[in-house]
Amino acid sequence: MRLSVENVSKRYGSGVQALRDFSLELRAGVLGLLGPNGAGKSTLMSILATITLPTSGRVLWDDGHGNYDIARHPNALRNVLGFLPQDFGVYPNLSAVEFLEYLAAIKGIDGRVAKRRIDELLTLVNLQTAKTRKLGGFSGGMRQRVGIAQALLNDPKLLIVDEPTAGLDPEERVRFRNLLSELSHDRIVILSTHIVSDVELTADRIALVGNGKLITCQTPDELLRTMEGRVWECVIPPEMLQQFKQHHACSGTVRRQDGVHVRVVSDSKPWQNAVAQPALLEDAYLYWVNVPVEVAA
Amino acid sequence: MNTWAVAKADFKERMRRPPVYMAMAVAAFLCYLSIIGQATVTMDGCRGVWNSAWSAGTMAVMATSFLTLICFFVIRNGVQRDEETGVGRLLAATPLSGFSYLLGKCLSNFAVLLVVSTVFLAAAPILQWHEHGGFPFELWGFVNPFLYVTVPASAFVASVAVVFECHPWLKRGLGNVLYIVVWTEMLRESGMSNRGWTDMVGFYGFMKSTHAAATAQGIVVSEHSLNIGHAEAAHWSTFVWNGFAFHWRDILLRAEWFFVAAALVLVATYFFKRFDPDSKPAIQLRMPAFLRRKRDVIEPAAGKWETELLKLTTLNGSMLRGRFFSIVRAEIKLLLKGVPKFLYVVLGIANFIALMPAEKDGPSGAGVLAFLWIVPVLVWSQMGAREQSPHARPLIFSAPHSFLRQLPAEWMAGFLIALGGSLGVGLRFLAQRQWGHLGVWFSGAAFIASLAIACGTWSRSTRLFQGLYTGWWYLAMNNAPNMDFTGVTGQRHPWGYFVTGGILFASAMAQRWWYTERAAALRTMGWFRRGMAARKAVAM
Repeated sequence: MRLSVENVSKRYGSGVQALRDFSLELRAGVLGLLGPNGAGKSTLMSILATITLPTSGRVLWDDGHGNYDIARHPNALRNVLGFLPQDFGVYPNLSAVEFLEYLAAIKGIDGRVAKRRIDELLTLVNLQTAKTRKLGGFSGGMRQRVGIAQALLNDPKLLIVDEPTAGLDPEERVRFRNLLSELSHDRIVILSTHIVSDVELTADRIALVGNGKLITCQTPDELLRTMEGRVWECVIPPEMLQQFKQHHACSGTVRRQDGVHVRVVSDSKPWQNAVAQPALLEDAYLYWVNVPVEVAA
Repeated sequence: MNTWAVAKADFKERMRRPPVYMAMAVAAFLCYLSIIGQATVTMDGCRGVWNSAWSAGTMAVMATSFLTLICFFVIRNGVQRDEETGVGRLLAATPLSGFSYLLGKCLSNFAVLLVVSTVFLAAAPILQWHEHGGFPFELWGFVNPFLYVTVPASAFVASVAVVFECHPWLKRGLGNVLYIVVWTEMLRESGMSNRGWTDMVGFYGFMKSTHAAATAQGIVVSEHSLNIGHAEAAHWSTFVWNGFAFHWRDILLRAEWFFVAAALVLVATYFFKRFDPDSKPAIQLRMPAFLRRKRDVIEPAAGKWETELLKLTTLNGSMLRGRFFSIVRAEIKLLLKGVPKFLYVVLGIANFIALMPAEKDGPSGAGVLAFLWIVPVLVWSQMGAREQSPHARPLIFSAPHSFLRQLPAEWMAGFLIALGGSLGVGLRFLAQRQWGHLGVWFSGAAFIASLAIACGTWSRSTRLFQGLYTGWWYLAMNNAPNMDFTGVTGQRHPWGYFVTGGILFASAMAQRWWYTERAAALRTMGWFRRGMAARKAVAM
């Protein structure tokens, strides 16, 4: 089981160049996609979900029986695809069960099997008690859980989830992260989010995307190792803060009595009293997305 | 299986939404009009006796007119809803084929139309009972005309709606306007031609069958005489009509529309782009270079956030006050945003023609005005509806006194667009001192803006105005009494249209006031109730 993204570029009709020469190879496990807004993550996921076509390049899906170009044979992937888009909607006048039954039929799942699976999934996402209520009355978090359930309906081999924990409360987020980890041992999971801790706790590999290009793709440990000796904390006078920020990437500032405590990502010691700190994934993200892409490559 | 699932879910979803019930309520009202004799079906001073077949025939013809026009606008949003809600993206990532999906939507459309038509079917026995014809109730007599006239026409319209939803041009407001033209042609073809195979709505078959029955009973009737609506005669010649015979040829001719419907779904599949955000029209016409917009490669926005709050300008009290004409200017910009350049060229040429010295056989000022006031129908149709879209509503309506600031400014924008778009005609009237026409020009512009804002505010959609206004304009051009707001047919009702415009605008204001200032509205109502109670107490 392998998904290969080969030199994919995407330019929209409006002129927006969303992806450029993007290449990546995925195997079973969770891939975390991180990048700023407008980096091209959602476009990449739309292409992988067979919703839109790349302008150039190709995506190959190898299911063990054959290697398919998904632009030419989209159904080879769609049969094993679970997709939770960032902005998905529901039919507000259908109940959760009716909506999931509908999507199960669309995905070609046998009626009796679908009923059983829907029941299990509704238990899994903690919606058993609300399953006959109209979706229009659901909160954002409940709707998101319906979305998660529909993505898992067909027991997908490739699961693409875009901002899946948006709107979930902390407990539900933990449940969902654990669920993704459990699912990932025999399938490919692509997780896009702005919440770095979600990626840190679930992803085997992290792909950092910026300006439509792949900046780097490494394991969380490798990413943290690249940051050794690059994270500092220093105390600077408040009046110097503005000038300091213009020259350094700051990942945190706290005002205290002795001055402003600033966490800095920098190749060299940024201030005379700066002390090296253990790196966090947020520091790594900040470092890599601000590095010119050519250097990162 | 997939098609059935799409049809079932879509049908359930639609049947739980208000528009279907509103359509059924209007259908019930039409049935009521029919039962009290205000809307009926006649032919050249004669009609059928009130047996089951004729009662149902009357209802079937009325149902078909209603379903093919009004209900088209009720059903043509299945694909659009999936696009707007995002359900479409979920479906696009499944193995569901485009044809299965669209066939499902078409079946759902068809089912909705059949449900609405049951109101007419149920009214047929009531009509027969009310008319005291003394004929027995016959089940087949009731069902027969619906099977021949209404059911195939519904299948056809259900598929036309799918095509209109998938075609990149027709799915926009232009499609709503064009459908009125298509519908008129459909009725004309069915009513006026002698071709059974182009009889989309079944009226030709109805006329042929009833004509044959009348002739056989010695009543002379013109072959193309079908009057739907109010009709009065001192003496009605009556004949017995027992319904359609359903010979194999009739069956084939009506079954044809099911095949046409399937073919239309196939055509729609060609235009359907599976909710691809980067979809391009299947057929692209190249615009001339000078009308084309430049499309450079746009780089995604990047940059750091400014976090220095001190850099922001402090607002003082004067800046918080609304400025009416600034809002009007912004509203005009919003309404005209996205209007293709060629439309300005068309309007410019028409205005130029209006300013030319009047010739005997040349176009009249009112004639040019009538043309100029149908071209921007899509621009006006946004009024009242645009700010009620789910994304805009929270932003606009959370502003203080939005209904007082925004709605009048929006009306003024629509009014100025109506005047500005036909300025050449206005100047011509002024130069020729045609004060009556000038009054019609002003009142017409006010009426258009008011109708647009009332339709948009009440329906929260652009479609009501597009359909209603185009129909109104069409009737005006055909010299329907009191309908001409342009003066092209020689009718002039400036005061009537000023008053109508005023009422429409007031209704829009009332709706918006209730919607945005409900607390104030309830307070006023409470105050009014208390006042009444106090007055009663004093009187006692």
